Amino acid sequence: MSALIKSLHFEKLTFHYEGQEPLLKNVDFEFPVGKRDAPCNVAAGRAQDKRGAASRQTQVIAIRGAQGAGGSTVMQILAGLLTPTSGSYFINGVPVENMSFEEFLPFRLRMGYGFDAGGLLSNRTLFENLVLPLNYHKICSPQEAERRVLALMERFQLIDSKDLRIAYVSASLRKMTVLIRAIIMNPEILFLDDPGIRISKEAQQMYAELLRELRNNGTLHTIFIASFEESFFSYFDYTPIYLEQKQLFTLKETAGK
Amino acid sequence: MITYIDKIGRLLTSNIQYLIRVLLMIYLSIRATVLDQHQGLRTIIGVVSAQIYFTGWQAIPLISVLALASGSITILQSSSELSLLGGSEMIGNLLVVIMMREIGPLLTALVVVARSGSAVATEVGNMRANREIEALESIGINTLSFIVFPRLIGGVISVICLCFYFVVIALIGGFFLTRIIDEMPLNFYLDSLVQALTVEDFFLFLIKTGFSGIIIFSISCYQGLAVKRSYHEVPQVTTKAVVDSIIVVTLFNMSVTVLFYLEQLMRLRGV
Repeated sequence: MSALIKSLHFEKLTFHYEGQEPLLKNVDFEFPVGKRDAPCNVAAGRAQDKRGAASRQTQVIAIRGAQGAGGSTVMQILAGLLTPTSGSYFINGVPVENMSFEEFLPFRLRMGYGFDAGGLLSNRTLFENLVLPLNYHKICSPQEAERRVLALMERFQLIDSKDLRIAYVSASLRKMTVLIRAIIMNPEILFLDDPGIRISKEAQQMYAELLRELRNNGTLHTIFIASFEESFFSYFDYTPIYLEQKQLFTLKETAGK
Repeated sequence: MITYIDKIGRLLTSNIQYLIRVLLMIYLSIRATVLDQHQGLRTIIGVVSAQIYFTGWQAIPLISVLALASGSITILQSSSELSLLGGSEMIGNLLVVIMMREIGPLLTALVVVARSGSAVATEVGNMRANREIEALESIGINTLSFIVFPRLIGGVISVICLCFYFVVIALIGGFFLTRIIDEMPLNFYLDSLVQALTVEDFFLFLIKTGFSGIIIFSISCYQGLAVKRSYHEVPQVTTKAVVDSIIVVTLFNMSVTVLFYLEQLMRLRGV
């Protein structure tokens, strides 16, 4: 199956929350969207005064910035969860702000989003939260959906809490559920907002292993990670995108192992 | 003087904007439901049933008490006053006008605002603050078809059914309660009621209750969705939803009554 999302691009994009200073101001940026068979950790993008495009061959992209700089906001705009205050966000050259919910849906279904906090339906159990997208969009049969969800819950030791609502489980189990839901529909692009917080080192390792499997089986071609802390980045080779002074830019050299 | 005109202008503009936004939300929720090929009828029916259960079924004890009390008081008062004036046979007309056209739809709507409108605004507001709305969007579920539309439909059905129940309990239950004090014959009472009922009464009843349901649940959902990021906004929007719903429902009921009687008056004058 060929990738649906081939390019992500900001043009003169500005964003601010109501009554606050802009987090992004007049940003022009082409995000590197990795290809399945491309080698990792190769940075060959064009750089223009620290701004411009990074390598299109990189699969893991880290949005780096100080705490509160707007990394999560960039991810939310990329996932279509926030609308820019001005300027445009293009997917495959088409401006997202002109798309209706229905027009954006095919892209949305190829994206997974792991929230930093919250983001689970409080009137449903952990299992119901995970199975909802599969059943709602009829991605597979209800039996297959149940089997897939239970296998993941078993793998991440959530099985004992599967019938509990989110208010009755620990923050780490909630976080793990959010991270699993992000990959439940086998996305092409995965957005992980502070994936390392609230979960143990072991859980981080297990999740990183799962992501590696998904990258190898061909569906997942790009992972965006926004975090100010280092731990989760250590599992990947990645290309950093820096968020400083309301601008996004990339450097020629890459970080990580 | 100009300052006052300016203030009135601003108030008017903001209220018109508010109305347009709520109407737009209703339109978009219907559109989203029609266009959503993934959301099966089963999902909608599930949420609608839950809404009917919470709004309709669970309100029955409160509605019963209110209906019995207002029915028996109205029957008692009107029968004694009409007897003095020599118009006892008019009791049916009076009760239909008071209970079915006016008090029933208004009281039921107020009960629903207090119980369910506030609950829906709080629920949706908390969902917004807890990023559940964002989560639904992130997995490709349209909030307008998944959250708003079923609540609107469930709310409308609940208000109509609850009001019908209110009228029946007020007229029948109220009568039996009154018999402890007043010995009015049942046949006389029922005849008077049946003769008083017209198609217009049912029409007015449906208009008032149906639209009250739409008003209450659209305002409550709108206010809930208006929460931006913080939990502290939830009680604020809940209060606003309740106040706005009461004002709009009361004004709507009043306007329908005025328009109906103006139309009757014009018909009598042969205009």
